[in-house]
Amino acid sequence: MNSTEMEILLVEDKRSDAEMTIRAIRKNNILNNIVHLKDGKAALDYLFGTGEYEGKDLNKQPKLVILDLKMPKVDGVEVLKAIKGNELTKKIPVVVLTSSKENPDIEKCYALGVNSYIVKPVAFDDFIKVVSDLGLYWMLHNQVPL
Amino acid sequence: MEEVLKNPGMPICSVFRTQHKAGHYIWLSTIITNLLQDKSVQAIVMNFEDITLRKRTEETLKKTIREVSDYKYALDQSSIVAVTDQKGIIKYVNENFCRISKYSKEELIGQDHRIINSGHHSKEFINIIWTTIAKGKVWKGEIKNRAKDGTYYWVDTTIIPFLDENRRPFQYVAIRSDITERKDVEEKQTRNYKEIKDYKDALDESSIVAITDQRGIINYVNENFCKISKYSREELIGQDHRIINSGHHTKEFIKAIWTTIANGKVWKGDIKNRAKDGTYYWVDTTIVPFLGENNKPFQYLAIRADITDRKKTEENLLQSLKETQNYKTTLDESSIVATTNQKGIIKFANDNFCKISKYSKEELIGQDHRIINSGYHSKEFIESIWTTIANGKVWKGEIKNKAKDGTYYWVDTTIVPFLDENKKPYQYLAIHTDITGRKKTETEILGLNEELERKVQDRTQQLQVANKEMESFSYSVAHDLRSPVRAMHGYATILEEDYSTHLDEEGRRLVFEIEYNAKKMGALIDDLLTFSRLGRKEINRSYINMNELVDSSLKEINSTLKSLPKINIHKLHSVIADSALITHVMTNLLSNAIKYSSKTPNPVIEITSKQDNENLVFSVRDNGVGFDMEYADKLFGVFQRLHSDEEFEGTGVGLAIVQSIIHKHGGKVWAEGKEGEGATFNFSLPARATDKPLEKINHIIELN
Repeated sequence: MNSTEMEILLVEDKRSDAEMTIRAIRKNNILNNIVHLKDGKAALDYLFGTGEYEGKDLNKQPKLVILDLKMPKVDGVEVLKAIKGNELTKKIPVVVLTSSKENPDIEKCYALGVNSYIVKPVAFDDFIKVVSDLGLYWMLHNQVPL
Repeated sequence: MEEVLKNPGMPICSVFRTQHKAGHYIWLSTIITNLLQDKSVQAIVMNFEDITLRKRTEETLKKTIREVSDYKYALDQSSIVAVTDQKGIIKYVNENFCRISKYSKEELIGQDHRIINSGHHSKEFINIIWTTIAKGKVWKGEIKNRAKDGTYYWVDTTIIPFLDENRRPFQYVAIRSDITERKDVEEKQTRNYKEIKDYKDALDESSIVAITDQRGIINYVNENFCKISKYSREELIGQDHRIINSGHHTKEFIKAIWTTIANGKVWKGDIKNRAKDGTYYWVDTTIVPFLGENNKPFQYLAIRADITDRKKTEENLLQSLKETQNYKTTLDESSIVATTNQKGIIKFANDNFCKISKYSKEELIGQDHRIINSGYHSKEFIESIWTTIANGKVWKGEIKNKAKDGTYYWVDTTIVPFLDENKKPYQYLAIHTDITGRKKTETEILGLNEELERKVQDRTQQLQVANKEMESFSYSVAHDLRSPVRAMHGYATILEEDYSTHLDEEGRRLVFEIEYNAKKMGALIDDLLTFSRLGRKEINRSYINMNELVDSSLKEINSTLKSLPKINIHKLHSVIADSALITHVMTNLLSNAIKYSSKTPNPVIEITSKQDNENLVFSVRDNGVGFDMEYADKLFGVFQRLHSDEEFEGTGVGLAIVQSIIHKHGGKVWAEGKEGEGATFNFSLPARATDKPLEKINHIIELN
């Protein structure tokens, strides 16, 4: 598998968090293409070729989705539900990002088949550590049977 | 003389009496022979012989024989006569003998006396008779014989031996007289006497007996009298009854006794006497006057029976009767009382019953209790009352009744069945107490409770809403507050990483400060969230081995520390509590202990537990910096710290969380310490935690 073809979809409404996440990914020397979408609606359109992304090649799906839970319009849980509920996308590993472990949606995410979740730490260095510990595992070691 | 003359030659004997010339009469015996024909004689020859003496002897004999004959006749007529030979064989019996023995002469003669032996007398008795008469001595005595027809008769018997020249008896004459009647009378008398004696003995044995003369002076007392009065016979005889006077009876009472007996009448009654030792005794007394020929009493027989016990029982009975009466009166005064027959028909109702039911006695009596039925109670309830009391058991309960005017009243009721000999109730006694007031209060309390319950529910709902809000608030805080802090930290880090060469030392220090404070703020937010999360968490109790819990806490701490100080863990009590929460507590206390003793040369931490009444107390002691007891109350407040961040890092939330958890368990948390000498943090948990009471405590805490 050509690693340059790997694409990471980051769905995050907060600019700063997105920037930090991307920086953390890059810090791990992962140079893959990162697609950053700012809300759930856009993510669904992107994944299922609707709206803005109508006519998109649906066979070219991202290799990892990093999904923030609290977003305007369509939240992370709904996006996860759509991904895991569709034959086309259900095998894509999804790592959920959350601001706190208090989030009651975490339970729901597990029920929906999330592969992992990361509580965003305040300290950036910690953040880099968890991203490399958890998120990239799915990128580097977990071969997705496509 | 004519004969003499007519018979010549023939001697004629005759005896004649002639007067002696001395004047007295003499008897002459003559033999006269007419010899006139004899030529040689031609004379009448007369030979005289004085036979006066002989004649006299003859006459005496004749007289004696006649007399003896008369005697014999008289004897034969009057007595029972028998003659036996020396062997006892009957030779002669007279008529009387035959009459009494009912045997004929022929049957008797040739027999011995065994024919009439009654078997009454002993062998010895018979022997004595024989010995006596065989010796030639007369025997006298009374013999019981048996007649031919089997009847018995008594004879007074004299046996006379007739002796021969050798002074040996050759026959025996037995003269008997019939004494059967006398014997019967005697026997009867003996029997009567014996009977009387038996009575007397029995009386003596069973009763207290005294006999006085007509003045009342004691002439006789029996053992029982002495025993009960505790006086000796000597002390009593010669005294009158005042010696045992108890003083209990009135003068009139004593007088009445005397009047009765002095008039020859028997007196009966109960008397209280005093014994010599001063104790009292009661006697059931019968005094019988013995009347003389003039119908005046010459002595009195007093028969007494000890009835002290009976009297005591009577007195007790009287006392209990009085008490019972008092109870009854009191009951009547204090309670609402009614009695019914076994069918429930009211036979009696007291004033209180009338007062509360507003019915008159006349209206109630003859009715059953349906007259005051309120309709409040179920059929089953009424039936259960009847089942209980009809089975002879007491029923207790509360009943709502309806008065005549339609108002209701509540009574606390006890129904007691009165049982007959067959253990079947023949009447019921119902004792009621008016509890209308209490019932009203109860209803009010019930209402208040319901209201309170409602309020609690409302409040709980409000709390649940508040909790929900708190939850979303926490989430918002976590999500929204952490995000900008994270950004601050992130950008500061980027600045540090990418532009450090463009910054001087002061610039780098400021960037570091931003990073540090952002981090610190993140920690504060996280701790606050933990505090609020644990505050809302439900307690989930289980059995906890505290030693294991401490071990796992230390493992958790160890993963973030390079090295642990010396920690002495004693054998700890096990407890029932929320394992996760208590782990949090222990981790927090241990972290603190490690933290605050980290600057001490030889840090030692001690973990102990003890039972204190109903609580288990766990303590974590360190030899660290300690604290000033003046600020001890501030230790457990949120954001309260006794040390600066420079000294020891911290957010000031940890102990607040500890306190919240322990309070939730119904326990207490407190600390002891001294600056520079270490601190001891203690928490207590109920030793025997049952879920319910603790849940209640939780409830209250939540309400507060």
